[in-house]
Parts: sequence; C-alpha cells; structure tokens
Amino acid sequence: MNKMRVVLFGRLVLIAGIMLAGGSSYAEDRQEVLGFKIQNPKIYTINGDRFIRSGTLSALPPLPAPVLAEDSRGYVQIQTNEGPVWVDRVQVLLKLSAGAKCPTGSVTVSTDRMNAGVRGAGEGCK
Amino acid sequence: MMKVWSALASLRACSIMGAALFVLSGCQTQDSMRELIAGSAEQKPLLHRKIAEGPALGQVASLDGTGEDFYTVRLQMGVAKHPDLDKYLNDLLGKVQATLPTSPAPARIYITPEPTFTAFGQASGNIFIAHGMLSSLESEDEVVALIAHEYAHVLMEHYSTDIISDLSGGLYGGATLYMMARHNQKGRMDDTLVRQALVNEAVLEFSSTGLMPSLSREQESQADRLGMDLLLRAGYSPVGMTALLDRMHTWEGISNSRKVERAERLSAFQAAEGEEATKRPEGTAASPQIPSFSAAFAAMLDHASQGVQALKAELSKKHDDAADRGREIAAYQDQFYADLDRPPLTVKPWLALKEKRHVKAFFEGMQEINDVAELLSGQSGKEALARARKVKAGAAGHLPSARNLLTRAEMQAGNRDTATALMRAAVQSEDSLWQEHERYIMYQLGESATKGREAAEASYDRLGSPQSMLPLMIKLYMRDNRIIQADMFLLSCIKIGKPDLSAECHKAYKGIV
Repeated sequence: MNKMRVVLFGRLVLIAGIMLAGGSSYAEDRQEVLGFKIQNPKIYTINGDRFIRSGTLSALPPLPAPVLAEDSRGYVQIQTNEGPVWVDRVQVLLKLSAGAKCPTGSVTVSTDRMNAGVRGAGEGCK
Repeated sequence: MMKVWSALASLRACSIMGAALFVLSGCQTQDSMRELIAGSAEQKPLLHRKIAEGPALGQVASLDGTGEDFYTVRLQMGVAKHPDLDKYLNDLLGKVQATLPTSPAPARIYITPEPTFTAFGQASGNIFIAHGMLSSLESEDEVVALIAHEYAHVLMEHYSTDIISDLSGGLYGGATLYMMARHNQKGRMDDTLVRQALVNEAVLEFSSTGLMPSLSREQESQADRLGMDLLLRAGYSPVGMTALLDRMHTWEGISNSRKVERAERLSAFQAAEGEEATKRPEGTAASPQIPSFSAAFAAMLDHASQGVQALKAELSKKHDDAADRGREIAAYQDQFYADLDRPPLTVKPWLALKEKRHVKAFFEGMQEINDVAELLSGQSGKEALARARKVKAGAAGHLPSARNLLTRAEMQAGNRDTATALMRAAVQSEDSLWQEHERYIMYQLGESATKGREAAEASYDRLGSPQSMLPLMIKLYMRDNRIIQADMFLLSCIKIGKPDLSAECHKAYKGIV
C-alpha cells in the first residue's frame, strides 16, 4: 500500500513538473510581431528543407501578431486571415529583451569623458 | 540570387585558404564577385562601393591596446578584462577582418563595465562594448553583427569633430568647480563624498546621453549596411543584425522612460531648491543633503554648460532610432540578399560561453557593481559595503570599477582609514580611474589647500597632463596662494585654443566658481 502511495505521489510530482515546465517554456518563448519593416513583406513556403519565396502578404494581420513558429534560418510563422504563413524574420520587428540598465549610480564614468572616436551601436541612457 | 550566397560561401572558403592559394586556384570567385555586384553603381551593396572590390584576403590585424584614445577610455571607464571573453570577441573580429578584400584596418575589442546598451569605436580601431549590451545578446550572429557595425565605422573612417571634446572638457571643469563652490564646507568626509557623488552624477548624465562624437545619420546607416555585408561574408545570418536592432529598439523604450523620470525629478529638485533658497539666510551655502543626486546633476549640467542641451537636441536630430534603422536594413537586405540560402543562427558557442561558471560570475559581478553603486547613491551604507566587499572578492573583483566601488562604500560607511588607504593605492595603480584621482584630490583638499594641490599635481603628472584638469589646477593653485603657477596654467589653458575650456580656466582664475 505504501509502495503504491509512493508511486502515485511520484507520478503526481512528475505530471506537475511537466505542466510547470511546459507552461513556463511557453510563456518565455512566446514571441510577438510588433510591426513590419517593409511595405510588402514576403511570404515563404517550405519546399523540402528550403524556404522558397511565394509572394507577398496581401493584408497585414492585426498587431501584435503572435509568432506560431520560428525557424533558425530566419523565418517566423504568423497567423493571417488566409491562415498561417511564413515571413522573413528580417522583415518583422520582434520584442526582444535588452537586459541592460540605465544606472542612477556612477560606477566608473568620470568627468572628462572625451572620446576622439566614432559613435557606436546603441545609445546610452537618454 | 542563389549564386550570391554561393559567392559568399566561396569567398569564405577562399579566405580560409589564404590569398596565395586563391591566386593559384582562382577559386572561381572572381566571376562570382562580379555577380555579387548587382545592379547600377548606386544599388551595389555598400561593401563594394566603400572597399576595393576583390576576394577575401583572410588577413587579421590586431591592435596592442595602447594609444592616447585607448588610454582616455581606460581612465574614464576602466576596461573589464576577461581572457575567455576577450579571446572570443577578438576571434570573431578576426573572422570579420578575414572577409575583407583588402588589408584590414587594425582593431581590437574591449569590454567596459557599463550596464548600458552601448558600444562605440574609435578611429584608431579600438572598439568598446558595454557589458550590459554584450550580456543581452543571444546568438553569435548578433555579437558578430555588433562587431561588424563597429568595425564598419572604423573602416569607413567616420571621424568626428572635436566639438564634444571641447564641451566635455569645459563641462568637466564647470561641474567640478561648481560643486566645489556650492558645497565648499570644510573637509568632513561626508561633505567630500557628497561633492564627489554630485559631480559623478552630473557626469553620468552627460556621458550616458549618447554624447559620443557626432556622426551623421548617413554614416550610421552606412555602418549598418556595411555591417550587414561583413556579417554575411563572415558566414552568419542576416537575422543577427535584425535581432540586434530589435533589441536596441527595446532598449530605447527603457531609456526614454528614464528620460521622463529624470525630467520629473529635475523639476522636483528645482522646486525644492527654490524653496530652500528663499528660506536660507543670505550668504549661507545650500545643504549638501539635497533631495536627489540624479536631479542635482541635471541642474548642474545646465549651469555648467548651456550648450550641452542644445547639442543633445542637435544630436538626436541626426540619429535615427533603431526602428528606422531596422526598416532601412530590412530594405537593404531585401534588395541584395533576399534569396540567400541562409545558414541557421549560430547560438550554441555564445550561449555556452555565457553559461560557463566563471564567465557567468564575471557578468554577474559587473552587474552587482552597478547595483551596489545605485545603493550607494541612495546612501544605503551598510548593505552597500557588505555587497561591495563581496564583489571585490568575486569574479569581477580585479576590475578597477570594483575597487572604486569598495572605496566609495568604505567612505560612505565612515571607515576613514580603510578608505584613505584604498584611495592612496588606487591613484598609484596602473589601471587607476580618473574618478579615483578626483576623489583623492577632493579628500586631500578637505584636509588642507596645500594637500589638495599636491594631490592634484601628482595626478596631473601621472595622468599625462590632461587638458581637462587645467581649470581644477588653476583653482587649486589660486586657493593655495601660488599665483605664479596659476598664471602659468592659465596661459597653457588659453594656448590650447578651446573656447569652453578657456572660459572655465578664466572662471577658475577669477574665483567665480
């Protein structure tokens, strides 16, 4: 009897773990398209293991548009009126985290910052 | 267009084999290069307009980490050295350089301990990436995109005018002297600290507004486009550049929110100051216990250099936001590289490195330095001291910013002897920061005018006679009744020919501030 309880408890823990892991993963990984970067975003179809351009989006979906799937070669699948389509990742704006911070306390920056240099990527805090 | 990617892949292969082998074999790339140069002259990918056409040479050129401009940044921010990260980043830079059809301009990458989403390059080839930005990136493609963008600035020789140097030099003198005048009470430790903190805060605002030397919108755009070319030639996905710009867009949102907060705090501070001034008996100084450091610096900025605000507005006009840049690079990619058979994102090497125990601890240490610095600004002394000591003993403990933090924390906790010993050691160390010199000078000044002047002299010599110290030197010599020396410094200052700096020197000489 005790053995059965242990097994049952173990299964419950396992199920709970799977549910928690799944939920968490979904929440963290879920991406949204915030905008399109060109006027007529291209759409793609998968042929074998290749993405082939098959036209342009006839009507932009309402934004933000949830990303249904993402391919590491740089394509994202979104839902449109005509069903799910693949679009070029380069042509959409996704909300990506920027873990950097605007500090309020000075660390090392000092009073005579002079850089005879060039402007870089990104901006400091405005 | 599929041939384009083949051409890129072929170029990459050639670059690995080296130039000599390339000449012998031909690599069948010359023709491919021609194909790569699509359309009319105006429509060519930027790489082929800005850099002589030709195959990748496979050459790498590194810098030795010296030079005046490197020294300036090292002094101001400190460099966050980490052998594995430094090697990784510079190997990636080497990969980018190797794709060039001409001898690459020498360059080297350094990490800075700043928590912001910032990177910048210098004309000499030094590239600095803030740890806040670096640790945010999630693929090697993004890291290479960032490097390629910065290196593109170097390749295209995007020099700036010296207007920023002029202003920052003037501002330095203005801010420091203003605070000395404003809180000129006899050298108690806390007064020194308050003065120091206020000056630091002023500069933090100034330096974190993106006031890097001004580049035009077109130059920034060119660096994005050439960066994209280099990224692809190095065998990475264009998504690296896109993701970098998307992340920057998020950062701009964070940064803009802070701007609003700061404006509100400034208004509150100005209102409080006005109220206090009306109550204060004539001729008495304001209390150093002001409501907000962050607000104080903004008022100081206005006071120290009115031109700064105008310049900030001017710069913001010249600079596209990340969303605009993202749209532009998407159009560029669509025009020239839309049908490339893309490689998948290269995620593992970068993430694996970031997750290594000592690298992770290093990043966490730098973040902790910034967090504790914020605590110190809020004057949470005991907790800040405990955490600063822990940081000093940790993976980022060797950084000058960790030492600087501990000194501040010891001072704030009232541990006078320990703080003094740390200050003395700091100003004599090889990697000393300007802030450490400044703090020591102020502290000694609190002891006596002569001690302050002597400390300033020692720093002035050790730091290679920086122009920006001249107003301070004049002020301190005047204070110590050494008029002839003050005259000489004033003449040197005028001779440099920078109007803002000269004005600050005059003010210091006349005792206006």
